Amino acid sequence: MVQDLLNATTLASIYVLFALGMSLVWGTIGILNFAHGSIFMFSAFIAYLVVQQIPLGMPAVIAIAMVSGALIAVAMQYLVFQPIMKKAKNPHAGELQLVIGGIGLSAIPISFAQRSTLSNPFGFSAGTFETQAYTIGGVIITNVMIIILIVGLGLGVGTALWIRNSKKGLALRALGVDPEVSAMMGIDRPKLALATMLYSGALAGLAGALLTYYFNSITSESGDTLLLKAFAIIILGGVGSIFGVILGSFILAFAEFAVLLYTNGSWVTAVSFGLLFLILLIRPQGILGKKEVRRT
Amino acid sequence: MYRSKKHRLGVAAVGLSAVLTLAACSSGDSEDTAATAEATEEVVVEESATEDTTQEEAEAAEETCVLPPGDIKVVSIDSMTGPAAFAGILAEKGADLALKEINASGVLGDGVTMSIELLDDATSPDEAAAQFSKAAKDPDVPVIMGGVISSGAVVTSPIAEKEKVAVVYTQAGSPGVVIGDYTFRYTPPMDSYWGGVGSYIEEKGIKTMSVLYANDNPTLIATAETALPALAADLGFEILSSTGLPNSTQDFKAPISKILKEDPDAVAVLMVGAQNATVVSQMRESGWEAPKELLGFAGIENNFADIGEAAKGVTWASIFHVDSPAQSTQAFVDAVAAEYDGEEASNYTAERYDATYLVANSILAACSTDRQAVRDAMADLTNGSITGALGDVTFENQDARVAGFVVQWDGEKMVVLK
Amino acid sequence: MLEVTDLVVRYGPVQAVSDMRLTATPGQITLVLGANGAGKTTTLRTICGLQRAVSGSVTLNGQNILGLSPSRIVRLGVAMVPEGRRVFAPLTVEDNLRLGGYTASRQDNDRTMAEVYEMFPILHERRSGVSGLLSGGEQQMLAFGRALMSQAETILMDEPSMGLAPAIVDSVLESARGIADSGKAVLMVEQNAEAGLEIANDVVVVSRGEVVYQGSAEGARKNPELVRAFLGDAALTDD
Repeated sequence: MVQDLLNATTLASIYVLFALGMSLVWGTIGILNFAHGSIFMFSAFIAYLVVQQIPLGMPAVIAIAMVSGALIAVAMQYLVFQPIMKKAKNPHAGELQLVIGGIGLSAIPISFAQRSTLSNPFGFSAGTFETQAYTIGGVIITNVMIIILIVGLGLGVGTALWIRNSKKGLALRALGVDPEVSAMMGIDRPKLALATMLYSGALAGLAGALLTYYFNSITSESGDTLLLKAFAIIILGGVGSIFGVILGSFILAFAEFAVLLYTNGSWVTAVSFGLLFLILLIRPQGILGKKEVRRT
Repeated sequence: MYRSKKHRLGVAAVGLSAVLTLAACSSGDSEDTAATAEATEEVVVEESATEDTTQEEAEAAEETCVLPPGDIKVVSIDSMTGPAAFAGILAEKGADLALKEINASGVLGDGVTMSIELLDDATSPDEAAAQFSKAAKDPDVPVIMGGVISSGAVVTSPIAEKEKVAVVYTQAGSPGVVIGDYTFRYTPPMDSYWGGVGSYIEEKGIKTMSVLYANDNPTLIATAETALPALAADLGFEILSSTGLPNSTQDFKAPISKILKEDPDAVAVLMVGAQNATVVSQMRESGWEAPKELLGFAGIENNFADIGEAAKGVTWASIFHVDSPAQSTQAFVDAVAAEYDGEEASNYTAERYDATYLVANSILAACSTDRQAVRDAMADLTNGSITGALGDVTFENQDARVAGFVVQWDGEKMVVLK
Repeated sequence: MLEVTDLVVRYGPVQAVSDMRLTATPGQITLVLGANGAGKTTTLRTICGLQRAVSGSVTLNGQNILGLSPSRIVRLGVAMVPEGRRVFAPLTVEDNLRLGGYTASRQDNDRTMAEVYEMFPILHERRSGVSGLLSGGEQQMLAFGRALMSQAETILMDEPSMGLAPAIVDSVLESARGIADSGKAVLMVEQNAEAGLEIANDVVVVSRGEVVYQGSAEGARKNPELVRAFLGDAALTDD
């Protein structure tokens, strides 16, 4: 039982790592980035290509993946999302174009990785890191799990507190509410948007590297799978709420775990997306999301 | 009476020799051999005209077949992109190699070459169906090759039957793919080569087994839900649980936790791609070591390079191995290494290599690019045993059968146990 | 001092503003009157950098600010109180004020926030409440306070009385007067000409993007027929 709780918490931390950057970008600068999954995958893929040539340890692999993720995200923002936002006649048309742009963008790295790996799984086995398992009171925990728990929960809570308390965090929240008035306040949206994309891309790279260590290998499509779950998590927790991402990740991970432990498995997708529908019906703004309040 | 008469007609029309035809009929329909014996004569009389022509054609093919000079274009529909691309790309390497050998040998005749028009189905059944329909409606296409994904093949097979064009699949291992006179498959169904794994299970004294399978892959569903229970009944072991997981599953700790509580002797892993590697490494992390067994029955090849040592001892049934003693396999392995920079030959490459030879031989035997003639010649050829990259292959209702191997991952590569 | 000279703004083929001339002087309220679609809001949006101009100039104390980004213009000292107030509804009152002071120093922020709370005690009372739940008049006060937090010397106000109950209109416009009296230059667009003229120093009437009348508010107050002639009946009777 303790083992199951620990495993489910690790899975939740993985979801946090992946969904955090996506939620941040969506909730603040208003880009629902459907290419987040392919940034995640491709950062790990670049790290994999490097590790094939030079046997590196975990810190170097993570650094390569984070830098790759940040660069890819910034390039996407600069070359695609920003021009779309500039040209959009109204925010709603812009939103749809951003989603379509993201879907289109995501296909490029995925096809590239598929061609290059022949869709075979890839991992960091050529590197120097070894997974170690420890047994503490009958509970098995690996060094990768410890890292994921610390990094996932630490970054999740840290980012949430930063958004809540810092000046830049306040500016990001304002951008999420009203970009135009934010500009009147002196908030430099393009610059902040670029910084947010950079952070989100680095997080995607970090998640990519850690997940590859945890699962031992991933495939070109792994990012897409997580993307749908992250989408569900963000809706569950409430768009724009970072604590909501943490809560949503725990709900989804524990729900999946419970279903897999007590049934023969077929229901796992139905349950996680059933949860999503339930939340949309009874609390459309998400569990921690703020309802649009306005009195005039 | 009427049913068996029709059956005779179908086979007799292709027949090279009466003996062979009768032998094939008897083996295919052993229960009512006596009842149909008298029918045979009747049929032959009724259809004598047809049989005569075919006979003449077949004889001509054996002696002096002259195909009109030109390029014979065969269509191949394969997954070159998408999740199944790893298999599709390797398969096409087999086709290319066979084609190169066939054209270099000049066996098709002076000025006659064969080429393949390759269409990518992007691992999508819809795309496969669209491209297949187009090829099937083009009367200049004598025969189609294809496959890899079962979900595509179950859609394209009815089209082949309707348009009366022969199709040779590789992979596409689910039921509903080989459904009639025009559908052939060069990859044997999994349970047909499980004999070796069966003895392994008995040898290791495995009495209980838990199953993890991908519940959105038709081949793996059929394996887990039909073939494995049948094997269990056969060998007398018990399946404790069978857990179907969607392809979105990346973390397997929950089902593994459940399985650990059941404490079976062996776990059958029937997942797709990287999932197999993750299941195996997470099983190992959870303390699953010998004498507990990890067995593969389908879908498990080519997944363990990245986890190396963790997969040591995983055992599965395979139709192909580079260390096979068969001479024809060794020749193929060498040819692949020579053609593709020392690459190690895979089962996907081997199957398609053999399938491409079958296509060429059928055209040659028919001495025609007429669809019906090619399909009849192919049906005839697959009545016997064919030796190729896969070793000796026989066919049951146009569906391939091989003896197979039991292979085990030794930490770096797969080695033959039997 | 803010000076707008010969400003021309187009939306595609539509000329929204042509040859606009305005000045805003410290301690004074310049009132811009005009019917809907006369180009008043467009002028304000162009001044604070949200809208591109075709030609003309906008200078602040002699320095050109036309074509700069909104965030740059705030830093140079022009703040906007947007039409419809547009407070950050899900954020608290205090967060709204802190956002207003985004470009200012910490000391300036602390000092000005105290001043704003003194000017609008209700905001102090509600400082940790969600701003979307304030009444219309309170939201307008918050929007004023937010603009003051930027330390800008020139404040643009777009229809501050819009949508407010008549009883509150006067107190809101009184606050605007107070802001000008503290030394700020106020450029105010209003539909409610009568109430606006009560507190303004100068008045500019625009029609179809052009300035058609310019003079002192006092003169206009004494001679309402003059303004009425330029505005049309609708504007003056509309409250």
